[in-house]
Amino acid sequence: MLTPAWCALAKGGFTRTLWPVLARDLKTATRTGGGWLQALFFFAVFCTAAVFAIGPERAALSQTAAAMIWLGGAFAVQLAAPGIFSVDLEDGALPALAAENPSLSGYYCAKVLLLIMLASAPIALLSPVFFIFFALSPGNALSASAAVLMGAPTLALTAATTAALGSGSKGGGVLSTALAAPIVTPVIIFGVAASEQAATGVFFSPELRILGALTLFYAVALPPIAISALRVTLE
Amino acid sequence: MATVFDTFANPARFEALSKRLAPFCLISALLLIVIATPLALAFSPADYQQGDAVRIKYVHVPAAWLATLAFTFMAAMSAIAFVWRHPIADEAAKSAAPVGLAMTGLTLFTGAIWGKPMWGAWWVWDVRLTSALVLFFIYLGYLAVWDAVEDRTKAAKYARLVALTGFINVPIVKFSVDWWNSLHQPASIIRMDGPTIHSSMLTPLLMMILAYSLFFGWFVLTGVEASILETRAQRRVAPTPTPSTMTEAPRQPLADAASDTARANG
Amino acid sequence: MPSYDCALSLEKVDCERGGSPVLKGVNFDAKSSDTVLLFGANGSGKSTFLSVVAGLTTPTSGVINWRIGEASGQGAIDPLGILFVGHRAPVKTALTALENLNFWFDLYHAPEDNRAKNGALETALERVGLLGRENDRVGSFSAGMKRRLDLARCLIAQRPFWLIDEPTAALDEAGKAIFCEILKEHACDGGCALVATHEALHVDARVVRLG
Repeated sequence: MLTPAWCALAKGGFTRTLWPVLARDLKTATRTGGGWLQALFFFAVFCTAAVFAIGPERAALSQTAAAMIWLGGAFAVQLAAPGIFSVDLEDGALPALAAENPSLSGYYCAKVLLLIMLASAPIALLSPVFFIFFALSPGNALSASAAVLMGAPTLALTAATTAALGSGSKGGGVLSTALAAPIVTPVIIFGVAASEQAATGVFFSPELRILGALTLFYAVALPPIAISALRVTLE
Repeated sequence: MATVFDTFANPARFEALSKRLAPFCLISALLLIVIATPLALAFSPADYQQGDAVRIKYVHVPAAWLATLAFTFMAAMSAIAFVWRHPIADEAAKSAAPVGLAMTGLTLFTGAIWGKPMWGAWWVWDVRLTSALVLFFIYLGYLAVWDAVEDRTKAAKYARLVALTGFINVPIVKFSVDWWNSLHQPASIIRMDGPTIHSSMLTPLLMMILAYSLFFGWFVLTGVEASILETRAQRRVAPTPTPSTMTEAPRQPLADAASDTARANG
Repeated sequence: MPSYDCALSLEKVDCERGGSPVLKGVNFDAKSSDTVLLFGANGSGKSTFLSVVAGLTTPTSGVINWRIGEASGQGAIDPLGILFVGHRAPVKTALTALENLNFWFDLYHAPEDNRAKNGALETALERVGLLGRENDRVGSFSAGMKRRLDLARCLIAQRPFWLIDEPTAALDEAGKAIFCEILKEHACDGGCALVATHEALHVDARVVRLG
């Protein structure tokens, strides 16, 4: 015998939407012909192309390593982001979910976690390999990647926010990438600097601290904006 | 406060106010420019380091001032629209955007032609310059949102959020010269210890800034006025559809559901 | 069997969409065991009405009162009291029928209900005639089958208020009959269903017209 859910559960539905949505989307991602690999694949192609573009000279490669890897990562996450909302907009799942979780906070958090798990974290975990391609020593590559890993949640957060802002228009993908400029630029500036510092042996550099502060600031400032945008899309 | 607010929120009263205020803004802006231009170009001294190139600042500084002022204004209007749902606030923010975009462009352009003789480069990747470039992109993004979303009420709501997010960049533009070691010279007008430039330069500069600001006021007022007229014209061309009301039809008996549907659909 | 006791009333509700007024002065009452069919031409505001009741759209003016058992309130209904089924079937084609339904079950229920989950999902799939296809991916389903799967949400949600938009759009005669049965049972349980439709449904129902 089932208990009537509306007596047994608290209001709001944050966790009640968060976990099922995350579980469902992870399962969907593993099914759709390696869909979860797409961001990682884009990142790998971007970095490889960058290596070709810069040329085989080791000094030039190691100098541009951090910049290229952060740029590739940021673009890969940015391009993956619009898709996480469009799946639920196209088939009308969003209204049904919003009826359960009117603030959409649980839904949004599930999508950010999804983007971290499918895009930014795998990219950060793979980045040591590419730092080595860019002529860094394995030790330096690892510490430079640690800075990327620290910035990974921020990349997902900014991408999810701009994707939410662009979710109401047809060219949402392009628009959201354009809107990302102001909020992603500081992440890239300090991320690249932190990775460069880490590669020279200074891991807890001022830049890394600023990157950490930026992550905290965005974690507070961006979700309300993204959630408001999703609610506008829903209207 | 409430009455000021109501005046701006009510389209008819706004129009009445704008009709009087807008010409005043435009005429005084033009007058100021006519007076300040000879002062700036002929009667103010050349800089002992920069020579006559310093005169670019009489365009560059007011343009930069307006670029940040316009965005601050847009963010404030967006916040008002967000909290009090005044459609005029959205329109005001929207009318400010093209001026802001143009002024940011002018700032970057005059900066570049000043930078070439002074720094030896059209462009340097300095914090001030880069943040100004990012501001330019935010203006573009803001206008793109208005353009990309067909439903105007929805577009307004997205645009508010974009303006509020983009506002993060404005303090960065303003304070970048203080926070980081910048190639760009630090603030010299609004400082804790008073302005650091001579009055012969300061007077035309302040007149220019005032003229640009008045011009901005004229642009926004007429922009909002135009949008009010546009909305009114649209209403006249396509009158708003009559909203539905609800009526209860006789209960549908199980046996002849179909015929009842026909009746219900009239 | 659950037994619901609920009531809903809307007074003078006005609503806008995209800047133009859609609903004006809507008065509406419903209570336990009511099945209400909403008729009206395209664009007459049937979906808007449902979305107002579901709390997805805020009316520009008017009052909504609701009561579920002991709990009551003004404004949007407690989300735990409503089931919203939109006019599109939000089923994920990469997942199987069972996985899709499992997702909605997790969404609608507390984790404590998990013991009864498998039984409930199987019963629901059997009712909508998809037992035997439960492990097939929904991508291989026809539009009608997807609709049936989506309507199976009604059987697992256990909510007093049902808000259903165009349920019979892709359904065949057998599917419509199943849906009508489900509506009747909900009314017997004391539930209240608001169904926006263009078609005559073979149920004993109140009829309300928008326009």
